[in-house]
Amino acid sequence: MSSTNPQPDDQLLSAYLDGELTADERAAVEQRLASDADARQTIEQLRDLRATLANLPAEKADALFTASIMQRIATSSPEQKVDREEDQVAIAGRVGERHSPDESEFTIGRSRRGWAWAAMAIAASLLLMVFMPDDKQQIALQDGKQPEVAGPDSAEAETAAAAERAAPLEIGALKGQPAPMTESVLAVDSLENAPKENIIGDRNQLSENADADSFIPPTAPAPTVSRNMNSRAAAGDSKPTRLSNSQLAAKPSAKLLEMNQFNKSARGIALQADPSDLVVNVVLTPAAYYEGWVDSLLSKAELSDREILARGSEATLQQQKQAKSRDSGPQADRARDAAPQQINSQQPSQLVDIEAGKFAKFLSTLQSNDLKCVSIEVEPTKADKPSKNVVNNDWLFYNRLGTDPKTRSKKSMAEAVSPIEKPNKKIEESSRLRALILVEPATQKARR
Amino acid sequence: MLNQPKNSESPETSLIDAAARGDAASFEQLVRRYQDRLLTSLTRFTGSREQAEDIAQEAFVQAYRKLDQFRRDSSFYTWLHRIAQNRAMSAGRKKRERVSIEALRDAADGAPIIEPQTEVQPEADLVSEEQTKLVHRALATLAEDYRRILVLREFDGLDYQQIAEATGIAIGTVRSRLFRARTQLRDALIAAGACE
Repeated sequence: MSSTNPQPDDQLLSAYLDGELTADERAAVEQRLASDADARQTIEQLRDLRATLANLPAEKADALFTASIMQRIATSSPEQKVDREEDQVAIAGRVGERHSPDESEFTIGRSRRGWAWAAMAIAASLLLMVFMPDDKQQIALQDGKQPEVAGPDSAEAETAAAAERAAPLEIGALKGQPAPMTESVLAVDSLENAPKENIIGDRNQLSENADADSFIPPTAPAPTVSRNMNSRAAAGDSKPTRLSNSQLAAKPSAKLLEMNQFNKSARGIALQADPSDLVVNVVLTPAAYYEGWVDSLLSKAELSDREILARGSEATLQQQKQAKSRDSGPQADRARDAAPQQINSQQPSQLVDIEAGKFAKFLSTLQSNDLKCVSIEVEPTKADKPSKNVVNNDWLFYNRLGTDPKTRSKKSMAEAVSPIEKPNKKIEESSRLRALILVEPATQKARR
Repeated sequence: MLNQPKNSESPETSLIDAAARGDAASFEQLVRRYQDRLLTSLTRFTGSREQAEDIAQEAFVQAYRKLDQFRRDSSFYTWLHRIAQNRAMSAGRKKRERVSIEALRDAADGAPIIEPQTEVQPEADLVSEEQTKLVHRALATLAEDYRRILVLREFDGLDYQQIAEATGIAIGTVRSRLFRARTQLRDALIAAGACE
C-alpha cells in the first residue's frame, strides 16, 4: 500500500482530491493515475478516509452553551485588559510566532511601555471607582461597551448574581447557615431584576415541599428570603411569588437533598406499575419542576381520566400545602429547616396508559425544551432482552438523553422509543403503551 | 465556506460592528452562527466534547472582549478559530497525552466498523457514536500540528490558503503536512480495525 511508503509526489494526490493543484499539476497527476495502480489505490484510500470523516455527526451546541457564553460576557469585568500570551498572539493575528520585545501593541507582558500603560489604566480605574461609587455603568460606557445590568437595583443585582455564581459546593457547605448577603440583596424584587442567570447554575438544595401547581416556593428557604416572603405576606401580598432558577438555587437548605437517589421501585410499586412498563425519568430545572410543567404537558396532551392510571404523592402534597399555609413565620421556617427532608415517595409521578403517538409527542416536547428539561431517561422496568445500550446490569436504555452531550442521541427520542419486544424499531402511533413518568428537579450531580 | 470577502458590507460585518460597540445581542447572533462549527472543530482536535465546550466558551468570551482589535484581514471565524486553537493547544500541552498506535490497537475491540453508508439506519446512531470515538482516538495519535491542519481542512472546510493564514505556515507546508496527516490517520484507523 503506497500510504505506508509514500512517494515524494504522493502529496500531490492529496492536494488533487482537495482541488488545490495548478492546471499543470493536475494534468501531471491525471497522467500518473492513468498508468499507476498504486497511485489510484492511494487516491481511493484518501477518498474513503475523507468520506469517513465527513460522515461523522457534527457537534451541536445547545441553548445552555450559548446562554453560558452570554452570561459570562454580561458579568465579565470591562477592566480585563491583560490577556494570556496565547490570546495576545491570536488576537494580533500572529499565530505560532512570538512577539519581539519591541512590539507593544498588545503584548503587555513583553513591553515596558505596555506595562506602563496597563498600570495607568488600572490606576485610572481605581480612581474612578473611589470617587464615583456608582461608576460601573460609566466605566462600561467609557470602554465603549453597554452595561449589561439594567435597572435601579443593578448594584444589588450584581451582588446577587455574584452570589448565584458561587460554587454550589459553597452553598451546600453552608447547610442551613444564612446566605452571606443582606436581606435587601435577597429581596425578591431585586432578584427578579437580576441579569440572566446561568441556567446551568445551581439547581440543587431545594426543598421538595413545594407546591408545583401554585408556585409557592419551597418551605425551607434561606432565613432572609423567607423573612422577605413572610413580610410580603404580612403586608397583605397573598399572591404566590414565582421564583426563577437563580432564586431557588440561591437558597441554601438545611440538608443537601439527594434527589438522584430516589427510590424508583417504591414509587413504581406505589402506583402499581407493571414490570413491563416503560419508566421515564425526567429531570427538570427547578422552575419547570415547581411550576408543574410536565403536568401541564400531559394536560395539553388531553389525556382522559382512564389514561391516567395513577398519580403519586398528590395527597401528600396537598397536606403539605395546607400545613404550610397554617405555619408561617421565622420560627416555623426554622422548624422546617431543622426537620429532615423527606424525599422519594413525595415526588410527583404518574402512571399512564397512553397512545404511543401521544407519548412520542410528549417526549419530543420534553426533549426540545433545553431550558426546562435537563435530561430524559427512558427505560423498561424490566426487560427480557438487553438493548445495545446496556450501561450496567441494572439499567437498560433504548434511548438515553443524559446531561452528558456525548451520550445524547442525535435523533428524536420519540423515534427511538419502542415496545419492549422490538427494540430500536419505530413505534406505531396507534398502539398503546404504559409508562411510569417520574419527575424530579435537577441537582448538580444530575447535571453531570 | 463561511469566509466573508474583506471590507464588504455584509450582515456579518454589521453584526461585528454592533458587537464591537457593546451590543451583546449582535454578538449572540455571531455565537449562534459559529458555535456548532467551532464546537465540532475543537471536539475533533481535543477528542473531548467537554474540553471543546470549555475552550469554545472561553474563545467566544475573549473574542467579544477584543472585538475592537479584530483587524478584519481575515474572516471573523478564522480569527475566532485562531483564538480557540491557541487555547486548545495550550490546554493540550498541559493535559493531553499522545496516544500511540499500539495503544489504539489494544484499545480497539477488533470489531470492524461498517463502512459509511448513504442511508441512515436506526442502528446508525450507535455506530456513528462508536466511529466518532474511534476517529478521535486515531486523531490523538497524530502530532498536534498535523492534527490541527487535518481538522481545519476536514471539519472546518478551510482551503489551503486559509489554513496557511490560520496557522502561519506556507501553503507548500500545508500540502505536505495534510498529506502526512491523512496517511497517518488512515494507518491509525486501519490499526484499530476501522478500515479495510
